[in-house]
Amino acid sequence: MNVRNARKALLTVLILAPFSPLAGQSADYEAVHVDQRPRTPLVTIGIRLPIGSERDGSGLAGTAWLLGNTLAAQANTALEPRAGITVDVGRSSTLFTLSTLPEQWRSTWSTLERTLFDAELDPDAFQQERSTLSDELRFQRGSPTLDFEQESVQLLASPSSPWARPTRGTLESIESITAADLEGLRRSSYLAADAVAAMIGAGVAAAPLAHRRAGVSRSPDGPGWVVGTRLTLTQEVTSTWISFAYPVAGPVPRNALDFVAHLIQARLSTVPPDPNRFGLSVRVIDAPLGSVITVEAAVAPEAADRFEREIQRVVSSLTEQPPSADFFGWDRRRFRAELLLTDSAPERAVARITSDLLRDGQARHLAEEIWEITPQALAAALLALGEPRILRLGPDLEGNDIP
Amino acid sequence: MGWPRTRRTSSCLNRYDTEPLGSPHFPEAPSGAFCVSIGSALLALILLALLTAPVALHAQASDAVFLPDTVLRAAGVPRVLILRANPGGVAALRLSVPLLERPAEAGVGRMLAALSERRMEGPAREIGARVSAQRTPWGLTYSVEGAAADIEHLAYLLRLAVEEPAPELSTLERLRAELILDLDRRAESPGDRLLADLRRAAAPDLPSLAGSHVSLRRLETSLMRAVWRRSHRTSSMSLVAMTSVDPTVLLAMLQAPGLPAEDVAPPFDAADPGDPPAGPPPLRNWYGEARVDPSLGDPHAAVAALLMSQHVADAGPGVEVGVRLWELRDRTLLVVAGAALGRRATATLNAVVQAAVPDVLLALDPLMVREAVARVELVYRTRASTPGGLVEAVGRGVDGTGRASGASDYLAALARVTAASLTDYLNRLGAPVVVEIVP
Repeated sequence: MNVRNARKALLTVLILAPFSPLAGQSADYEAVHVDQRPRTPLVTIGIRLPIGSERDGSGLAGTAWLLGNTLAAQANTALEPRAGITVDVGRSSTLFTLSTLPEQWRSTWSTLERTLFDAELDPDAFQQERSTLSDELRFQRGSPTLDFEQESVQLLASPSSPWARPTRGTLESIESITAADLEGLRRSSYLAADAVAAMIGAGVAAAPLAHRRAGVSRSPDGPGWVVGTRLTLTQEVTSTWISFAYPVAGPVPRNALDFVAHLIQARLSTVPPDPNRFGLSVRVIDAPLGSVITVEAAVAPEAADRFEREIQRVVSSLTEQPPSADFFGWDRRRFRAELLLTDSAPERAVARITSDLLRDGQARHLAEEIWEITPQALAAALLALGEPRILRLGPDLEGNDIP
Repeated sequence: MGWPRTRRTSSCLNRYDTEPLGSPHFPEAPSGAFCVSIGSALLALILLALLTAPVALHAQASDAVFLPDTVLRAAGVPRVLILRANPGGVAALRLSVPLLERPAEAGVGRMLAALSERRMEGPAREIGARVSAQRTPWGLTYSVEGAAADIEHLAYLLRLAVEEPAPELSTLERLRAELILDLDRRAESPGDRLLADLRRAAAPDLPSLAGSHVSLRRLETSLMRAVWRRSHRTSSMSLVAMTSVDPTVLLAMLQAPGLPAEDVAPPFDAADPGDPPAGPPPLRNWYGEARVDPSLGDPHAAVAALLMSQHVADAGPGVEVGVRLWELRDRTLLVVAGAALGRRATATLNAVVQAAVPDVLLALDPLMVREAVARVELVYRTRASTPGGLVEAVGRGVDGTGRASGASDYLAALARVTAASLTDYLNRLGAPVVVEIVP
C-alpha cells in the first residue's frame, strides 16, 4: 500500500468509525447477546463478570462489593446525566447495568468499559463508598434479617466455603480493606475475556464473538446433599424467618427449575394474602454444591409452625401429583406470562441473559422454550428435588416447637 | 446476593393529579367468554380510516419509538393507536376514558377505578397478566399487560374493566370507607394538607379528584352509574396498544366497549361540597409556593423542577424542602414546599422556598440546562422502557394534548429547551400562590 492509499484508508476509517455499529465496544467478551427491541426508548447494556464476594481474601470480606460500587460511582460521575449505571455484586458474579440515551450508547458503553478495565481507581470514590457501606452496616448491626440471611446461606455451602461469606463484608473487614486490595482484585480478575455482555435496544449491535459451547454448566450437577437437616435458632424478635433449601439432583433444564420455583411460589401465595405472612421468596440458586431451590418466608411467630408445615405440604403435593392436562397448561401459561413480563424490563432482561450466558454459554429464548416444557419435564424436575435443609430463626414460643 | 444500588441526586418529584386507592383489592371469581365478531360496515370504515390516516413520521429516530405505527379513527369505535411490537413477547393495552366530575361527584372516578380493578384482578391472575385502573387528571385509564399470545384474554380484561358498575352494597361501603379514611389520613398530614391547599388556591375551579367528605358520603350506586353512562362513550375513548395484532382484529376482540354516543349535559351544575375538615395542629412550620403554568406538557416545567430541586437540596440543618411538578387537567403547577422547626430554621425555610426560582434564574447557564435536559430525557425514557410504560407515556400524551404524537412532540420540545427559553419560561410564570401552616 502506498502512502496515498494508506492515507485514504486511514481517512475512511476515521470518518466511518463514529458510524460503525461496533464503535462503542472496545473489549472482547467471552460472549455477547444482542436483543433488538425496536420499541425500547433506551439502550440497556449489562456486563457480568464472574467475580463476586467468594473471591474476597481472608479477612477482607467486602472487597468485591467495594470494588464494584467504587467503579460504578466512577462511571456514574463520568456519564451523568447521559446515562446511569447500577451495580449488583453477588457471591459469584458482578453485574454492571448501563441505561443510556439511544444516540449515546456507543460512547457511554465505551466509557463504562474504560472505567471497568483500564481507568485508575479513584481514591475519593473508594473512601466515599467505604464510608457509606460502613454506615449501612453500623445501622443494620443486630438486624435479625441479616442474621437470617447469613445463617440460611450456610445451608447451601460447605462450612469453610468463601461463597458463604457476607457479600458486603463486616464492619471489621471493610475497615481493613485498602484501595490497593481493590486494585489487586481488579487487576487479577476484571478481565473482559471472562465477562459476558447483553445489549437491549433499537439499533444496538456488537462484534460477532465466538460463544462458549452451549449447555456447559459451571455448577456441579448435585444434589448438594442427600440427608435433610433442621436447625432452629432462637432470638427474641417479633417475626420468625423460615428457610427451606431443596437440593436438585442431576442436570435439570433451567426453565423447568424456574417453573418449579414459580409453582411453589404460586401455591403458597394465597388470595387474599395471609395477614400472618409478611414475605415470601422462592428462588433458584446456583450454589457451590449444586443448584438449589430455596423457599424463604417471614411470618408471625405464632403462625410459624403452620407455615412450615404448609411449605412442606405444597412441595410434597407438587412432587407426588405434578400438574397435568389442563392444569399443567394453565400453570405453564401463567409462568410464561410472569417470565415475559419480568423480562420486558430491560434491566431485568440483561440480568437474566448475562446469568444465562455465564452459566450455560447461551441465552434462553423464553417465549419458545417455555412453550416446549412438557408435563413429563416438569414432573422430572420436581422429582429431582431432594431432602430439604430447614432453618428457622425466631422467638421461642413455649410448646409450639415442631417435634 | 448484594442489593443493587441507585443514587438519588435530587428531591424532585414528578406528580400527576392521580390518586389511586392504596389499599389491597380482592379479586372476584373468573367469568365471561371471548367474543370476536365485527360488522362488515364497521370493517369497511376501519379499513378506510387505516388507509387515510397515516401517522406523521417527523421525529428523530429515537423519538419515533413514541410514535404510533397506525392511528385508527372510525365512527362508533375508540380511537386506536398501535405501536407495532415484535411477535412472541409482551402485549400492553391502555384504554382511556375522558371524565369530568361535578364538584358534588368528586371521588366517583376513583371509586369507578377501584371497582374496575377488582373486576379485572381475578381473571387477570388466571393468565398471569398485570392490570390497573387509575384516575388521571383527564379521566380514567384501564391498563393490561401480559404475554402477546394471550391478547384475546387481555382484550377481554379491558372489556371487563369498562363494564357498567354494579357493586354489592358491602363492597361500595368498604370502598367508600377506604376513600374517606384516605382523606382523613391526608388531613392529618401537614405536608399533604399544604399541597391540597396549594392546589385549591392555584386551581379553585378544579374539584379535587380525591373527593370530599360530603361528596363521598353522597356516593351511591345510582350516582356512579350516572357518571359511568355519561363518560363511558365508545367514541370518546382512546386505546393505545403495543401488539403485533392487526388493529381491526384488536377492535373485534374489544367489541366496541362502552356505550354509543349521545348528547350529554355539561357536568357543572352542582354546589361545591365545601372545605375538608381541619387536621390536628402540626409540630413544625410548613411553607409552600405554587407557580401556575397555564399549559400542559411544556418540558420547560420538568427541567425547571429538576434545577429547582438541585438548588433546594442543601437547605440546611433542620430544614426539609422538596419540589413537585404537578399536572392538573389543564395546567401545570410547580410547587416548592417544606417544613422547619424553630424560628431561625423557619426563616431559612421561607427564604429557600422564595428563592428557588430566582436562584435558578441567576445560575442558569447553557451547560447546566443541557445536563438537566439530558437527565429529564433519561428519566422519561426509563419510565417508558417496558411495553406497559411505553403505552402509558404515549397514552398520557394523547390524553393531555389530544395528539397521537403527544409523547414524541414532548421529547422534540425537550430537545429545544435552552437557557434562554427557560429564562423566558420562568419569567412568564408570574407570582406564586403561597400557603403556610403553623403550629
